[in-house]
Amino acid sequence: MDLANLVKNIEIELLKLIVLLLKTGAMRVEEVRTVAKDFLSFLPFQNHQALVSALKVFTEKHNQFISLYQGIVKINENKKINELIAKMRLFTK
Amino acid sequence: MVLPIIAAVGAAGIEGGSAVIAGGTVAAVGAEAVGAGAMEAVKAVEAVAVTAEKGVTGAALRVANFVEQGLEKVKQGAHPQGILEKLSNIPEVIPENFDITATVVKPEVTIPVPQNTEVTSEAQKFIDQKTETSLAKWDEEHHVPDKNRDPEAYKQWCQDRWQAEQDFIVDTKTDLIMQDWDKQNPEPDKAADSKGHEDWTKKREEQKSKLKDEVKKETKKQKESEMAEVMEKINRLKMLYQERMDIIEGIKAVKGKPEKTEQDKIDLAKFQVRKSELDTAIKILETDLKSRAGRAAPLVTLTIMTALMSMMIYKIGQEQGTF
Repeated sequence: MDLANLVKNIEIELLKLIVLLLKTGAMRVEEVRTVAKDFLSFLPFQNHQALVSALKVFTEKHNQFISLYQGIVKINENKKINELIAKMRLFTK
Repeated sequence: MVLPIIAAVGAAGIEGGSAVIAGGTVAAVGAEAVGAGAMEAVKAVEAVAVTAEKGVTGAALRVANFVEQGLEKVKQGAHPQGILEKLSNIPEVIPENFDITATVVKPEVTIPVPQNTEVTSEAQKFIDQKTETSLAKWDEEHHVPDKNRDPEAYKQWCQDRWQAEQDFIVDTKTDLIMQDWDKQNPEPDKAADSKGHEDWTKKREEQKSKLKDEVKKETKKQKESEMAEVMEKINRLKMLYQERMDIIEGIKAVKGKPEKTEQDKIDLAKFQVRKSELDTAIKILETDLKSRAGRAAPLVTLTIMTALMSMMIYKIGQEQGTF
């Protein structure tokens, strides 16, 4: 997944979480405003690493969205594993 | 690649009663398995929900509905960033006619600086072919000096060609990687959005410049390592030659003894075996260097041939007792 699509997916997930938190009373409208502002302040992401770092900072401040950071960390792990496997395939050719 | 997001929220307090976890929603972008980390996320969101205020305000519900409407529009092609922009400026008192999707905010162009400048083997083939064609044209435009009549001019020509080859590789590779960037960041219509087009052009230039620097560094490193590899082999060959000459001296010395002891005989046999080993190693290394010289860039070829020639002269000189 390229960076632009990854960011788009994260934004969608962020909005879904906002809806759920608003509906359950776990978030107020004022907080939504801050959350949206804080998230937008990180844009644009220069690269994948910048996205990960930004999400870490963002979710440290707004820990209701920790799953966004955990998701990206998981993606990173998978990416590294896939790169490692590809490298090992080259060695064993 | 998949982003596993757990969005589990309890329905605490919606009805004003006790906190009840009504259910969890696993919203995964894709179908990746959700691990332990994600379960922690469920707990985290559940915890937030449980401790939430007992009552949900009408404003909150209205905003939630607006966002849901916006998300529906996203399915039809709208960008979620536009909704976030709208949320970041949501008014204290939400007007009746408030529409989260009314303003279409264009997503800001991201500049994905490549993490590395690796290309696929097919792309590498394309780069090699293009470089070869460009070098052929360069050769036509740059006359090769006679290396016997004007060795200095020939050496300079080899160095210029070495640099030209690197420049061709850098240009082709940069253009190739930029094609991916262009796919990710389509060019806005200049007539419809001149400011957007201007921003895009500026960002593209910045990106290309950064990328070119990166590719230049990498290509220089590669070419230097190519030369370093050759130099390492030349140095190894020089050492083998030196050892061979020492062994020959040893053989001569033992053979020259009027009376040979048992130890002399053992030494002589050992020296002769070692000389034979060195002859084989030298031959292999020389063949390798010669074959490399046949297909390498002129500067590498020149380096190899100069080294081989000097070693040949050294060998002959040693054998004839000149050195």
